[in-house]
Amino acid sequence: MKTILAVAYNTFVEAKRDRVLYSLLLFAFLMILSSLIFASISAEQYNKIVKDLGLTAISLIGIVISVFLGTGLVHKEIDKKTVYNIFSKPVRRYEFVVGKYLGLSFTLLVNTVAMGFILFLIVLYTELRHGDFIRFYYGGNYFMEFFKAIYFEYLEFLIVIGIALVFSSFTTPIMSLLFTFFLFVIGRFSGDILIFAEGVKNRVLRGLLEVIYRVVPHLEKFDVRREAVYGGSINPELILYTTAYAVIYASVLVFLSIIIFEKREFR
Amino acid sequence: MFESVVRSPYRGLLVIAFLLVVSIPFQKRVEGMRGKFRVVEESLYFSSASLKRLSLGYEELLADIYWLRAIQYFGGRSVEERDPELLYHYFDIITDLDPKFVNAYRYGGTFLAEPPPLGLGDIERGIKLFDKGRKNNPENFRLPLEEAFIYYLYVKDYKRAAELFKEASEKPGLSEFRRASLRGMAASSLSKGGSRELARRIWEEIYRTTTIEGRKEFALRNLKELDAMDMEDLLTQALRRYIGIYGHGPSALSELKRKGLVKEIPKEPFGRGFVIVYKLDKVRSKTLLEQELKYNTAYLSGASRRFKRSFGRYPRDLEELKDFIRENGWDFPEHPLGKEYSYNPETGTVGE
Repeated sequence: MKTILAVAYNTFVEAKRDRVLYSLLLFAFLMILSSLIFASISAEQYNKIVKDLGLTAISLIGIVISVFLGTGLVHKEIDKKTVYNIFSKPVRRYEFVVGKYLGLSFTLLVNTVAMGFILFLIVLYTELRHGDFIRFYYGGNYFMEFFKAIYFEYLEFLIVIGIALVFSSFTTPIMSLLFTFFLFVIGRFSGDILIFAEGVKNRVLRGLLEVIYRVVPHLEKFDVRREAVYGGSINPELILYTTAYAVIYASVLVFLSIIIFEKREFR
Repeated sequence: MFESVVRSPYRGLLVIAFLLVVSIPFQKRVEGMRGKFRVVEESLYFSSASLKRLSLGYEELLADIYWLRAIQYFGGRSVEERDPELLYHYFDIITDLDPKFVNAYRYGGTFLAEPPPLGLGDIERGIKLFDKGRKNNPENFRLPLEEAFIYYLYVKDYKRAAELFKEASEKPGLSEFRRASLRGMAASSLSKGGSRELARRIWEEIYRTTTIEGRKEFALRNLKELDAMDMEDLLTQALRRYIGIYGHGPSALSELKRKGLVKEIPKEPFGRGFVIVYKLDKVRSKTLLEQELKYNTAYLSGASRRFKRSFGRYPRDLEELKDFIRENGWDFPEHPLGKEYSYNPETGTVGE
């Protein structure tokens, strides 16, 4: 466990050094702040514009960081030959992979909390300035739903990091970037596979489609941004089951990465 | 233990398969709480302008994708779940992306306008889609033709139907036979609005040209109903001649044949047979009779509920319901067996 935490800590420190990370964060903050300008010309739809734009910014930047840093996670170590250094110490391969995953997940957690906090301040500002309008149009500011939406976005990042890690453990960063992106898009529209399956008459094909549906990540289930604006029930049961699904799926991905990485030869 | 599992790919894959199976109940529970189709429903509300930008110039392909999704999405839902507004919006997007997609106007327009259970009964939106199609595809004869069907069969605006039949007949590329047939439909619609003969030609055309199984069956049922109506007329005429001659009705339909008033008692198209309604001196098909009774009682019970919404109570008796219907300018459908409907003033339900 100690080794895993050491690798995780190093991954976090390394990510902190990455300039790309800061430029992306800066972009996110600018996007969140710009929501204030858009909100001011939105015909009194302050909280909707601020939340829509802000939550989208957090999601987009989080996904981009997960994909870009995740796809380089393992490959960078191999490319720079630092992997020899690591494995010359008493570090097992699975500890390395799990540590890498946890390190990036923690980086994302810190970033998401930071972005979420800035957005929360802006949402709070709109509440203080335009609370009456917000209650009139939307019935309230739904702060709890707002935090839950950010939490669900973070769960999605955990899965995307896992996907990136799988591809990163056997192919080049460019290819894993492409594969991760494709699987991400499939995951965002996974419901379509089921709709298609339900319309297919051939039982074998339908069965096959249902299996595919159950295997691909259901990323659209992590989108509760609408509830953050309009309210709605994100009950504890939903949070529990969605979290459980995210944890199980992320475990599958990490486990797959370990299997692939165990078989990999370094020259 | 852990290391031995991850070092053997087979064991490792088994663990992964196990974890995926474990995840299924969680997936299903989340689906149960949030619905399976959320993303699809949301994507329906994109505007066509934003979709055009998103398509990066591949608008036709995007229209095809939307078309496939629309068919899958709406095809798998019950009538109550199908939202006409959503459906119109969807087909509006498809035809904005690909204005030459004639089948989208045809399918969408007909599905919207046709009454349940086959369609959604939203004539206004159905016609709107057909109008858009005619504007974008001025050389296509099917769009005005099928819009004319809607005006003729459901709106009962025979003048507008005739105009559309005429418009269809003037389109280029038609065979002389079809052109003449369409002109005939226009003339019939104008001169004999509501005629059974033209309705039959329309349903035949729908039956011949549709590729949708449900619609084919619907057209066939309508054709059978028209046949049943013709048979009812034939037998009713014979029945009235019989009464004219003998001063009373026959004990059974077969007597009409025995007395030479009809050559044959025709087979009812639905296989249910005919009955003599002595009170009205009519012969009715059992299928049509039951259908009419069902429709009338549902309609009258609905009127009774409307009465309650206005006055806070159900009508005291059928007479009060009749007055309410007439005061509102609606028609009170007579009982097809010539008797009174039963009525329960406590529940406002009208029965046979």
